[in-house]
Amino acid sequence: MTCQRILPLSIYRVAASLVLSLCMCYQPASAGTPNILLVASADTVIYQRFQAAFRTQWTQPGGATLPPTIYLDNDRLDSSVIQAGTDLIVTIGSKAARTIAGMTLDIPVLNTVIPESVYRSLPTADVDCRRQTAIFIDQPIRRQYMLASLMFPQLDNMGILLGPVSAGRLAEINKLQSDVLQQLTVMEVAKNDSTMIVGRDLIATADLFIAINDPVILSRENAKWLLYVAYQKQVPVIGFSKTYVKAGAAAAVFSEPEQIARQSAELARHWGSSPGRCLPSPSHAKYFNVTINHAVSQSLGSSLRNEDELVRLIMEQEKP
Amino acid sequence: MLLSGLIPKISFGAETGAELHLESEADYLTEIDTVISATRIQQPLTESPSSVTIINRDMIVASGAVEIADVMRLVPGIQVGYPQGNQIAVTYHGYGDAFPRDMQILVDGRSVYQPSFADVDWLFLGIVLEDIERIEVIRGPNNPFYGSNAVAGVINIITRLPLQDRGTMARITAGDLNTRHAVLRHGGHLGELDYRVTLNHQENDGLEGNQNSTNDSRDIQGISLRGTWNPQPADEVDIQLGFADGKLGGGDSTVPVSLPHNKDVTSQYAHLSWRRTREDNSDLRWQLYHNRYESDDTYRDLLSNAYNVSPATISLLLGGTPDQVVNLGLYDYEGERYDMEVQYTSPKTDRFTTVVGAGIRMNRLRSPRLAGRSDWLDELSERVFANLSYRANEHLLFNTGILAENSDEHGAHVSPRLNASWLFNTQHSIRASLARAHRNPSLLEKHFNAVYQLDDGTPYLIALASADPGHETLESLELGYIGYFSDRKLLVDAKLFRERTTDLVRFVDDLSIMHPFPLINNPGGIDVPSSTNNGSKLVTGGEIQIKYQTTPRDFISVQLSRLDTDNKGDKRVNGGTGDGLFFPNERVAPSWTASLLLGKSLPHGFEFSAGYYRLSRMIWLGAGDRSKGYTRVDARLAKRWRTRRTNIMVEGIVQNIGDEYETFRDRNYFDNRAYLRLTAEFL
Repeated sequence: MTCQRILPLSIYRVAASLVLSLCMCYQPASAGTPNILLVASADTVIYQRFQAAFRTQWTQPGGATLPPTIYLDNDRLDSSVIQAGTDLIVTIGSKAARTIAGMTLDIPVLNTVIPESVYRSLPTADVDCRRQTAIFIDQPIRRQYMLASLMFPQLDNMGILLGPVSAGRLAEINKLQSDVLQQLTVMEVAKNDSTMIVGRDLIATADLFIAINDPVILSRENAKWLLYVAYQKQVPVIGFSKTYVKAGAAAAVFSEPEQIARQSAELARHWGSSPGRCLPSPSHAKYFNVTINHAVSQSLGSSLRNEDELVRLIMEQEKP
Repeated sequence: MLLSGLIPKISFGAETGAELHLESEADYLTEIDTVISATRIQQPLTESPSSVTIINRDMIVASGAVEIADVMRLVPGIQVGYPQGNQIAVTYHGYGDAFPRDMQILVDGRSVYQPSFADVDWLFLGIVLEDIERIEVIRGPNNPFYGSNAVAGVINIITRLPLQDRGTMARITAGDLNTRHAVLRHGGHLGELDYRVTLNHQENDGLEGNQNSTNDSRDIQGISLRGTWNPQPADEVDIQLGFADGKLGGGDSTVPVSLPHNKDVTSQYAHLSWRRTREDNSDLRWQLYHNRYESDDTYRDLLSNAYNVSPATISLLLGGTPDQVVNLGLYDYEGERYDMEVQYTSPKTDRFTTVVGAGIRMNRLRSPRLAGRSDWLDELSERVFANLSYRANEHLLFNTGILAENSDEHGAHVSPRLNASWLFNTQHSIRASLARAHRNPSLLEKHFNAVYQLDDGTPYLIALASADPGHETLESLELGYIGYFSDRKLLVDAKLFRERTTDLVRFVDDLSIMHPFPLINNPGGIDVPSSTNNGSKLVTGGEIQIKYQTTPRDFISVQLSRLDTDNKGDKRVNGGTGDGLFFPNERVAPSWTASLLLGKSLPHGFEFSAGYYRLSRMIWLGAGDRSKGYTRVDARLAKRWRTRRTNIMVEGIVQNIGDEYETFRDRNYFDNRAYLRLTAEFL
């Protein structure tokens, strides 16, 4: 910043000092390097992994400062704690998202490592320029469908079980049904229904079962039971986590915290350099992994593709 | 131990009690290693009150093991020896003889401990290597949860669910020692019932170094069945049946009254268990099992042949009685166990989880040869146990357990254990544990009266006797650490311990017992070994195991243990001069035990694995000798072919690349061995 000489030297010196001080106090982020504050739900491994990966991604091109992190289980959080000059808050996990959403802050927020249902429950204001967005931890149902059709191309009828938490995904399923040839059979577990009975009926009907996370209907015991019944009936299950695959699902597609961190850093960098700085619409994670239970999938007649090949094929199909 | 036996539980997390039904990112990401064994409660390794070694399926395959017991070398602190080619001794922290008695061995919750010698016949467990899903080894006393005999620890062998073995599998192994193993397995379902049937045959000629004098061959056939039935989500019923029959070589021509011969062995078991999970997530388990083991070790020959002397010498030794044909064979006995147990696990709250249970057991033994009587010896015992897990806050966890047991042979005793763990987070914890454990003598240890007789009933040699010993007592202190690193790919488990056992039940030479014909030598010397309480031992040391899972299929696992021992006791009692001390300066446990196993997947379906095993010198007790210690390297190379419905695997296995080593006795050599194994699976 330069100051032109139009007044006596001593006044110039005072004025220059004042201007420099103001420059030091207020540093609008230079293009592409906004000041980031990470707010993590807890100081535990899931959030630590995201934080470590985000910091690496953020500082790698060089020049960006290491973003500070607040852990909600260790640190007090109030408006005064949030550093003045923060351009963007990145929350990690549902608790952090809810906490920040409940505060009166005029800082854009990127919510990460958060299920879509949790994000949709946050208070939002309709504005022309988006000030809040998210990268979801759950996968689009379309991606699970693609994995299922690549691994089991011979199967025509795919079953999906919805409950009170996952009911909001029915529109997504209907959109998918309009685009694909296979039959998608959806059964909803109503309030007084038995998940086991509905689940058993679905497995009896469908050739393959796509598991959508819903902690009300897919409790620990129910999930174990459904996996057992499905395998007994020779119905492959496409899950949403590595744990499901370990427990007997044929395969799963999921995103690691490191992958979401990578996408978050890309988004933040792009946002920082965009005029107007409006955040993009919330979306599912762009980067993901596939994991296969080889013993289960082979016994159910799957194709012999490996995990990397399946990721590549799904990404190709997702290209616009 | 009553295990669920079904697909592992999925862990779901919720952030707070009020948000139980909302989704959480933990639903997608949380993955926790859990064990069931140490407290009968499913809990993460970091919350276990004991060190637990988990040998999973990948490690079993990578080890190239041909015997189940060989896999035990991967546990820090365990020693594996071969008293004979068809007899395997597995002991923890040394002090092992041909019949190690201080570890409880379970197969899916059924104890395979024999009521006779209080040991385990590793060739007659009723399962094959191919049926094992994983092995959990609790290193340290665990009486409160597994009863008497769980003094040194517990080996919990968990077999695969029938659901996991749909289709047909055939496997053949052939190689050195004239080894021929064959396994044929089929799994399927009948309505709601999933089943697996396994047929197996194993034979070999025994250890190389022995073949001139000792018959230690084996020829065994077996069949086992496992069925699981889930009529509804809350109920799991598991039934297991098994039968095995075979000939085991016995005898050693260099030892009097022990001519090479074959003994017929049969074993069978039936095991039924039921588990109900209630809506509040508590569960109730009930199990009933019956084991039977029979060793027919009767053969006849001339006394002159049995002693390898002339008939005239026999007449001289027997005071004029002429040489004659007599019944020989020592290990002639039949044993049974009946056991029933019920266990209740409370719902898990933020603070408490409790397990309570009770059981009743009947051990039976009949052996005119070993016990000197033809009727059945019975021992009835009852037990109650409880474990309380109390979480004082997010970092401090207490596990306390107690077993109260009453036996009509040994009376009543109580075995408590107290543990406190500090959980830094879900990945790191330290713990301190105090325990007292008791080992009751077996039926034979209390009733040995092995007398060789002529056909007219005249006794001529006392082989074994008993002074009616009471129980041994172990007191243990342990400090441990468990930690995960590198995104939970690296596991480190370390412990320091001090274990003191008093009133050891062991054989000492009782000079007050005279042979009927004193000039006839006992096979072990002129003295008569008598089972009695005598001596104590103090074992201190440390163990560490490190496992690094580089990829889902590749790993490296390292195990180390360091042991120091202090032994007190007598070699002879009731006479003798200046005799006494029980191996005072001998290494009855190895100073160092080390093992390493690595497994690596290679391109094009190849797999490579290698194992390194090191045991420093030690002395095996009883019929054992001083062992110089050894270093052993094994290697395995495999190739798999997979189609949609078929798996074929060919394996080349080499055991002990390098010099031969002595095992258990200075005449038993473990030399270089090679095996070829072919497996075909049709799904």
